[in-house]
Amino acid sequence: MKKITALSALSAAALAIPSYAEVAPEDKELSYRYSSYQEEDAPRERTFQGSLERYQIDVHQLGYRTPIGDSWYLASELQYESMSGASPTQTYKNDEGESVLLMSGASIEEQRIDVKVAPKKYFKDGTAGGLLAYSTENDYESIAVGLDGTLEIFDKHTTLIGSMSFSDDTISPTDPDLDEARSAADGKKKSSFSIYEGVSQVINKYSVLQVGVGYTSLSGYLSDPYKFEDLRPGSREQLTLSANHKQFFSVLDGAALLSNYRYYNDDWGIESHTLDVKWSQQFDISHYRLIVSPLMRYYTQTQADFYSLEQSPPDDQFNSSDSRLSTYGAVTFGFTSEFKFSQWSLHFDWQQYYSREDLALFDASDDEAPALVNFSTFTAGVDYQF
Amino acid sequence: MSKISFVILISVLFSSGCSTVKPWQRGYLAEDVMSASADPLRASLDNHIYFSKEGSSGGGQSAGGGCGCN
Amino acid sequence: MISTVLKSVLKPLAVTGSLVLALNTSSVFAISVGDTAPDFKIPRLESKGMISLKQYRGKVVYVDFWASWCGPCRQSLPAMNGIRKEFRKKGFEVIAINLDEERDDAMEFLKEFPVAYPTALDTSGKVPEAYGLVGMPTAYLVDRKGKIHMVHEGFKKSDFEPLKKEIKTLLDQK
Repeated sequence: MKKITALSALSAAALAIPSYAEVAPEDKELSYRYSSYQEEDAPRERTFQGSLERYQIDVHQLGYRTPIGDSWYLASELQYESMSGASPTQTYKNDEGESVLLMSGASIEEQRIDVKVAPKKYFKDGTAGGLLAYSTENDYESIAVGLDGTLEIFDKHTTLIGSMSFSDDTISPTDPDLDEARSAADGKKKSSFSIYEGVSQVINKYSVLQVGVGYTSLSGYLSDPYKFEDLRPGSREQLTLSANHKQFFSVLDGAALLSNYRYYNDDWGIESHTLDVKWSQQFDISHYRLIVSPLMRYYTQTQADFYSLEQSPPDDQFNSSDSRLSTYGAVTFGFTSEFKFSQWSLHFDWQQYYSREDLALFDASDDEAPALVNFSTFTAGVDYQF
Repeated sequence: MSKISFVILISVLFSSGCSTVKPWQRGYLAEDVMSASADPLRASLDNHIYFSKEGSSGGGQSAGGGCGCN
Repeated sequence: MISTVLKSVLKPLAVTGSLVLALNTSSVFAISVGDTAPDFKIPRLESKGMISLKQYRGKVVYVDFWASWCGPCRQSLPAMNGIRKEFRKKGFEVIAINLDEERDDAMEFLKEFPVAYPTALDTSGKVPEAYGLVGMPTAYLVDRKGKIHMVHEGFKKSDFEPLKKEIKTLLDQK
């Protein structure tokens, strides 16, 4: 493991930091969300084999938060996901320079269960918390632990934030006897270590800025056993630099402009920029509060060093035609909304995501990536405080 | 090189242009609209989706609770 | 590659951090137990006229700084209403000083959590400044001689009983 300076000794699994001094919440809260995720079909004119129907996922989230004693708070989440659909197995360039997409055959049906528990202790000038997460599905199991902390200094104008986490995963592909890649991956492990350090600063009465650095190191089996000609390095180092800004505006009953920027870089050759902006508008009508927040996100990434569209690359070379490792750009449009009254809060969110080769800001190539996906999601939910 | 300028830019932003905000002047920062991005269930789902569908990950969240989305 | 980038980011960050730390000296004036509670003369919130702390010399006074946006205030104001009812005859009073920037926000809050004790308004921030207020909410328990007996930051349900005990102790003093 690389040497890290003393500053990074502050670390943990950061949850969203509120813009004002944290006080242990006194309410219990029960939440439920249903989300539907739908991918667009694979392009018929480029798909040579397999099913055109891509992923359709139903997600149920159940959240429960409660104070424990005077200064502890426990947040927990249970997620149940049911997924069906086909996925890309390979993309290669043919003699005409067009990209050919191979999809998996009959649609799969899978379930995943995810549990997270995060206790947090509130002190006079900060917090200390932990995270325990477990995820299981028929071909993958993951367990993660984390620690996080915050410290308020300079009369609570500045908050130091740190988090650290470890994860340990085991892969067991379905039908391991189907091909060499699957049997090679069976029982393989993947582990990660991640740290995040951030500083949140109150700029003035109306705004807060948070900046942070993150580092993650992954090792183990990182290839995709369900794809052809997919061999990736056994390690991956990732760096993120991020900035989040929140600005209040006295428009109508109150509004805020929330922006985030993230720079990402890893040793696989991928470099990306993410910018998302949200305008949150409040409307108060007698005892009811409605907050509607339209949002937009732009994402651009450059490809991994070993990304290629060669149909049959040498077996001993790192290679992948996974479009998620290609050069592309993506745009998200959507909104979140919340309707509050007494102890209740109703939520409705919707987002549409488009990803395309020519939306990339840097190093756009002429290669087609027909596996790049468009999807839409909508979420309906309810929170009850008691 | 660009990383160092990023750090310097942020440090300059921090040490200059920040005004003193008294504890009783924190009302605007406590407004509901200012935490519209802080819903944990929403964030959890968004991070999961982007982690599965894009080549980048992280930026303030833990690496925990991975899924088989290589 | 990443480790060198990381080092080049963390070192200047650590240096800048310590510099900012050294340069930013926070104002650490805060009133302490035993000091005389600073007097004030500010407009009342729910009725006309002014209110001053001196008027209540000889009584045990709970000077409570609150705002409509402060979460714990939703607990503290009704709680203090109950305590004040219980000890009013013995010479206990609560003065709730509101620090909202908009008077309307304070009035909206009081509609939802009405109280029987005097409320006041200080939009200038001079009174909390004089008390060296560090966090919201903060309350100062003042004895019959006008001296600060206790500084109470925040408010939790479990603060209720210990607070009543302190008030009883002060009320028993001459």
